[in-house]
Amino acid sequence: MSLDKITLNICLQTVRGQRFSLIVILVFLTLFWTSSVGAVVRNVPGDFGSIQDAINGSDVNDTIIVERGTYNEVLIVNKNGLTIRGRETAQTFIDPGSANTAISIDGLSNVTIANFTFINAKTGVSVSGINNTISIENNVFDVGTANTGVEIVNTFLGGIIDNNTFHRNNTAVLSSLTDANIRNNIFFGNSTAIQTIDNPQNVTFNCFFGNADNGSVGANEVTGNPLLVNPGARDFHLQTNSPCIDEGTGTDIIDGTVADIGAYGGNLADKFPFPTPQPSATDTSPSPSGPFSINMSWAANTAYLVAGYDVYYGTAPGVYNGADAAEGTSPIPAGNVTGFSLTNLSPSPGTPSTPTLISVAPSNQTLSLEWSAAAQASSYRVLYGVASVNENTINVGNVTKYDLGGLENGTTYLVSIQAIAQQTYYLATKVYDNTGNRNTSTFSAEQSIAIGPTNESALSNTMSGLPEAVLAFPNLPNEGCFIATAAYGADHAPELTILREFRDEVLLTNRAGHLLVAMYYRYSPPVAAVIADYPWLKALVRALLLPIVIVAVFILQASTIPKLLVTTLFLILVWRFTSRLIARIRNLRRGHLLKAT
Amino acid sequence: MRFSSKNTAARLISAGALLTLLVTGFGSALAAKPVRPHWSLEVKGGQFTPDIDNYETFYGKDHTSEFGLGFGYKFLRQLEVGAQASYIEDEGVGLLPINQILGGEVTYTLVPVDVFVLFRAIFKENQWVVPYIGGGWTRAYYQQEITNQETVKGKADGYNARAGIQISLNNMAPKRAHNSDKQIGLKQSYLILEAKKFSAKTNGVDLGGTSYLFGLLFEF
Repeated sequence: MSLDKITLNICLQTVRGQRFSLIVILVFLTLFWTSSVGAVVRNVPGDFGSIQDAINGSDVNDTIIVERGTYNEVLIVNKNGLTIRGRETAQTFIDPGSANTAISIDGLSNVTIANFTFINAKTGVSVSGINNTISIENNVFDVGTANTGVEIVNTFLGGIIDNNTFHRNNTAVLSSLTDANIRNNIFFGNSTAIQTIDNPQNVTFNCFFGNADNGSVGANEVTGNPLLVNPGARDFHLQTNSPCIDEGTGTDIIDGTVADIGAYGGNLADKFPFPTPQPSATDTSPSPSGPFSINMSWAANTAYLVAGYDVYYGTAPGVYNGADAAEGTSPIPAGNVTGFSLTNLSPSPGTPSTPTLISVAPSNQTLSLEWSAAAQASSYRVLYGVASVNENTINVGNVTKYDLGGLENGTTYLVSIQAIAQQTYYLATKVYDNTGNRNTSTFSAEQSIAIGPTNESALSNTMSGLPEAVLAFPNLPNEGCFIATAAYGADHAPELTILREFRDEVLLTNRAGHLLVAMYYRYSPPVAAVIADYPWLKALVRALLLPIVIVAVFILQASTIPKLLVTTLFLILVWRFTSRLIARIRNLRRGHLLKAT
Repeated sequence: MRFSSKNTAARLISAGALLTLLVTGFGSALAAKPVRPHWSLEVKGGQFTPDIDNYETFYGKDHTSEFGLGFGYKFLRQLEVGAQASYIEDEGVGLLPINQILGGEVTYTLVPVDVFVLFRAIFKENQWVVPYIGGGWTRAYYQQEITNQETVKGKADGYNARAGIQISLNNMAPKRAHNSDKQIGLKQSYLILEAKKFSAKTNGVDLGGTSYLFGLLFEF
């Protein structure tokens, strides 16, 4: 309006000169263009690699939209009139590190910070100097139990702190010399909710729950549990029956009703429901020859606006264009359920290429295999044997490395790999709300499952490997079972393995066992030396050790019920033996006394 | 390798002795009132080079790191008895004798426990540099963790010898030293530079080696 008046005056004064008029028109156009440029919307990371670069590269009155993601940045706002908004509060994180302030604003006016989740920060937003009309809206402050959500350290005229959720901070809002409006916020589990406020009459319609000190609660406060969906997973939406629903001031942009309290109510609230976690999937095909079906299930999103779920499926990662399920083409509206079956699927596996076995590295009773990935393969099979690779097969899943264990040391094994192709389905869900716009969440994390018939590749090249015990360097003696080692001669005798397992898994799990093992290690070396010197003693010691080995095997291998039965039987035998022994001693003493009398 | 270690130790001792001669006459007048604490605690770390041929073939380099914690009692300011435990660990491969190749994964851990007597060349309490020399008995506990195989454990006895210098921190910051004494009873603090050698043989293998350590010594 004022620009128009200036232009008009200049035109009147220069009515005689056409050239001058042209200059004036150009000046006018330049001014108009400049004022238009001030309203540019910048995108991070589309236009700028970082939020700070976007702030530095923006002009007064620009808007910066930050896409979903986690931004490890320490931001300094240095221009008036900037609006900096996250794409979605629930999924746009600013994590500057616990020693830093996420956003600092000093002596500016008309700055808006909205739709972010601040985590792991010394301070979420710090406003210092003389500021006018700073808006902090629809953010989540979850910066840490020793830290501060919003800190205002000087005059904050006409400021707005609206529709934020402050969760488990030390101080949620720390302010001084302020006349800011603090409205529609949830203060949940903070040490102090609002500390030091000059104008408590400006604090209205906030929810306080679980704070050690609420500070200035102001007017129209709500004090019940806000029933947040899952604060641990940073889902701060409201559940059905939350006392914060429609209890704020103003209007909700999502459903047009009275504003909810918290980060997901009010005029700048997200329109996106929170996505479900990764769904699970099971192959429910009744037989290997079909028909083929998959059952999906997922955790419910209990936010009060959630109306249901869409199921997405396809045969390539991230491409959900499946059309072969009896239930329909992807996406399928599943309704308000937490499980869904895709039936009568038509999986068609590709033909896998032949993998190449790259290396066979031997170690104790093991061959470590590595092979190249084969195109179209959904899993692999290891084939191995002594005379032929066809003697044994193991399905090892979709990996290209495998430790083939349980082999006999000193035996040469032949190994080959086969690729297996099976149709893999990729699955995800989206959540939608009950508003007229049917707002939907982003995709859940993707789940995949291979079902249906398989195609096998030709066998890879064959390689051989000879597993053997690794000799550690330097070659040091193992002060293990001294007596037993001397008696059995070889360090790898199976009886020694059992006794060592018994030592490690039974004796060394309790104090008495520790003591026994310590005594054994202390006193057995001289005994072992004698046994080594007199070979005829070995057989005797082996015979003496046999019952111990049997008991060790029983304790290590038997399940609970046989253990209980044998222990009971053993106790009965001990009791009978002891009682008979006591009776015999008594009889002897009685006989002795009778003789004496 | 061993020859150069001895040279370095000798140089360290010579440098320490020289420094002592230079600085003992210039003890800081600002230092706190002389005290003669008995108990000491030391924390140190550095490099350990085993006296084993071909160590590098199996562990990739001829040395590894060492961390130690020790305590001592000084009967006199010149005579100390103490004990120290160190932790040394390295990761490498073993030998597959039939295949005649290196393979497997081996984690070699060594914990030498030393009992020692130290002689300190200290002539006044605010002396800047205190050279020392000492030695004693060592028991080295060893462990070799081998993937898919039983762990080898054992111990061996031997001796240790050490020499080094202690640089007074009290002289560098007398006020802070005074406060530490008042607040937590910390009488003297030193920076330690030490060369240590230990030997403990088992099965014909000497587990020992040479260590160059840097740390702090606190006297209470």
